[in-house]
Parts: sequence; C-alpha cells; structure tokens
Amino acid sequence: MIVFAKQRRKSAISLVPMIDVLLCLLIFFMLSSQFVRYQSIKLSDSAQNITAANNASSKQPVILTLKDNKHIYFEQQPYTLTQLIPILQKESQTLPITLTLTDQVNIQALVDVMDGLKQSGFNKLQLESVNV
Amino acid sequence: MFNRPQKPKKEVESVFSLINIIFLLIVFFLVAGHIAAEQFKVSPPLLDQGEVLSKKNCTIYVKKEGLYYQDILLKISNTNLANLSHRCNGEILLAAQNQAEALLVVNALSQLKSHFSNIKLLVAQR
Repeated sequence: MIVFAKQRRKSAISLVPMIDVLLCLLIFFMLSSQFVRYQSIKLSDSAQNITAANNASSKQPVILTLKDNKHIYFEQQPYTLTQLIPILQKESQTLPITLTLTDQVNIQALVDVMDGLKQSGFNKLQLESVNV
Repeated sequence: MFNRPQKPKKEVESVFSLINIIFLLIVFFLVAGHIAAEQFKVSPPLLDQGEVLSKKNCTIYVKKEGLYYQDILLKISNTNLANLSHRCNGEILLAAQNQAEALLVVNALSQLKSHFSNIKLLVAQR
C-alpha cells in the first residue's frame, strides 16, 4: 500500500515580529534624532585681528553702540542694520569696528549684528561693554 | 418561513496600513532629523549660516552666575584656565541662552581670550 504524505498546509508568514522590529526602530529614531543643527561662530579671531589692525595702522576704529535689541547707534544716530551697512561701506570695509554693548542687549541681537557685519565684509570686529 | 439574519463576518483589520504608517514615520525621522551627536542644555541664538561644529569641543556654559564647565562653576584663575586650555588644545565653545545678556559673552570673552586661541560661540541654524 502506498501511503502519501499528508499535504502540509501552506503557512503564512506572520507580520507581528516585523511590526515589533519596525516599532523598535521608530522609537529609536524618535528618541535619538534631533532637528536643531548646531553650528558656531568665531569670537576670538576678530578680537586678535582688530588688535593687530590697530597696531599696524593709525586708523581709528568705527564705534558702534548697541543700546537695545533693535537699533545700532553710530555717531549718536540710531540705525537699523540694513540702514547702517551702506553707510559703513562708504567709509571703508577695512576699518576696524568696535561694537559696544549695554546690558539691554541680548545674545540673539548681538549675533545678528555680528553676522550682518561679517556678511558685508567687515571682519575686524571687537566687542566691548559700556556702562550707560 | 423564517429568514434568520446572517451573522456579519468578523472583519480582520489589515495590518498593512499600520506597517505603511510606521515605515513613513521611520523615513520621516531618517530624512528630517539626524542622530544627535551632542546635546546642549541651552537654546542658542539662531543664525542663517555658521561654521560647522567640530566634533571634539570643550563647552563652557555662560550663565549669570558665572562660567560652567562640565556642570561645575569654573573658578577664574590663571592656573585653572591654563589647565583647561591645555586640556582643550586652546579651543573652547561658549554656549549661552539666546535671550541672555550679551554682556555675559563679552565678559567671558575678555576672561578667556588670553588663554584660548580659538573661542567660538554656539549657534543654531535658522
């Protein structure tokens, strides 16, 4: 007598372990990924540059004063950054700039001004504090 | 004749839609985020384009109470700063809250610049 082997039932692949793995991956990426991209700006080189520039030339630095977060004072007149840059560019881009700050100015405003001046070619920048 | 209402078939929820959503979420986190190399405990000022942050940085947190290095208030003295500068190869990263007084950074800069050749300020891309 010939005995045929029983036909096995076709087993479907279970999706449950796959879902588990995917959920684990999802939780890992949710916890470990960050969306803020950290960068940096140089502070020290500008200070050294201006000291060297002052020593090398007799040019007086342009003195800008930040009294609040919006206005930059140049020769006692308040300007916004966009107004001030063309005026400074008429003077000279090689002039060193001394940026004096009061305690009303926050770091975000300082960084905005520094970046604006740097983008316009003013690299010789020195920071100073002033008491008003 | 009685017509018994047929029992509705028990619907099996398909797991495919769940898998699709999880895949989409994973792809989103892969594309939009990046694996956090270093976490900073401040919200730094925003900037359009800064310099790439080098991987090994000694970070000093600038706070009202003073300068903090590795969560310890830094005692400002020549020997302390010289030791720290030697340990950090003359490079230091200042991290400060974006709404903090800018004078804190200026004061920190004046204290550190004689010991560190390369001082940077932490910013975040806008």
